[in-house]
Amino acid sequence: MGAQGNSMDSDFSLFERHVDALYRSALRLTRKPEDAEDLVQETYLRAYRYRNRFQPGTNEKAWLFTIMTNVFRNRLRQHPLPTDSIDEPGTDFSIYDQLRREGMPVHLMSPEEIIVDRGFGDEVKHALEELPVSMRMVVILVDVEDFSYKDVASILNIKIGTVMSRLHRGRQALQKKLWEYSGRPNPQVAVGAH
Amino acid sequence: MGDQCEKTMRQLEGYTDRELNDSEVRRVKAHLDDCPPCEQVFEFQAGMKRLVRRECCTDEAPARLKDWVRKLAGGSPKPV
Repeated sequence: MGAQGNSMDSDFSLFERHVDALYRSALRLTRKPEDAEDLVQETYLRAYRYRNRFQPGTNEKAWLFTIMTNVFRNRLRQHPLPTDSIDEPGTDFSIYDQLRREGMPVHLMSPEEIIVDRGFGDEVKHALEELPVSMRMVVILVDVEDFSYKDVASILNIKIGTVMSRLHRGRQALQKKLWEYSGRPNPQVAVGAH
Repeated sequence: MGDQCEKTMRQLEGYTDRELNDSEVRRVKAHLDDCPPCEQVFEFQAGMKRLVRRECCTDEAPARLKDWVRKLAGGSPKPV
């Protein structure tokens, strides 16, 4: 929408369309609307300042997310969150296995039915916001923003193997939180799949 | 659980995220077609991913932030 004609500004206008994606991710990271807005503003200011370093034709959304996650991590370094664990040890957990163990007809139920029908909704957002930042960023980038593992590795400057392990543990931790929210009994430790 | 099931479980996230190469995709797909228990795990996992995406995509940037970005994009000195 923002790009008008072929002015030289169209280069930067290209970035404008990602404001909703940046904002919703900033909101999951900061958990506060005012902090999210501030994070997005700083992201765009930096993007504008360094716009000449962007290579036209490359993924501008990934470039913006690289800037934003860097700004966020720098802020965290200056003001660490009291509750954030750097990298929670992984516990094997899946809602699917839990329900199977309870004898529920899991094959007849979708996660939407199981989670949303039990009064879940905003709980998914809250559960995501409770994950350790390192896992939360990866889950957001892959599951919500649809970036490839390779893009995420580049955005966060980590190895692809690290992306995969954080994603795996992040998703399990997310399911565990949702399970706890549902007021169900303490999760049992999973012992293999089917 | 057979070898093919174990192998499929290990690759299931990559499959769900469309990160496997063509031959891996064919193998996983063929196994899922043959093995209802693995297929169910896949359906659930794919459903979780859709759910997270749907639930977390609902926030829109405030209008004043959008205006601010638009001004930055359009009203500022032209990039050199």
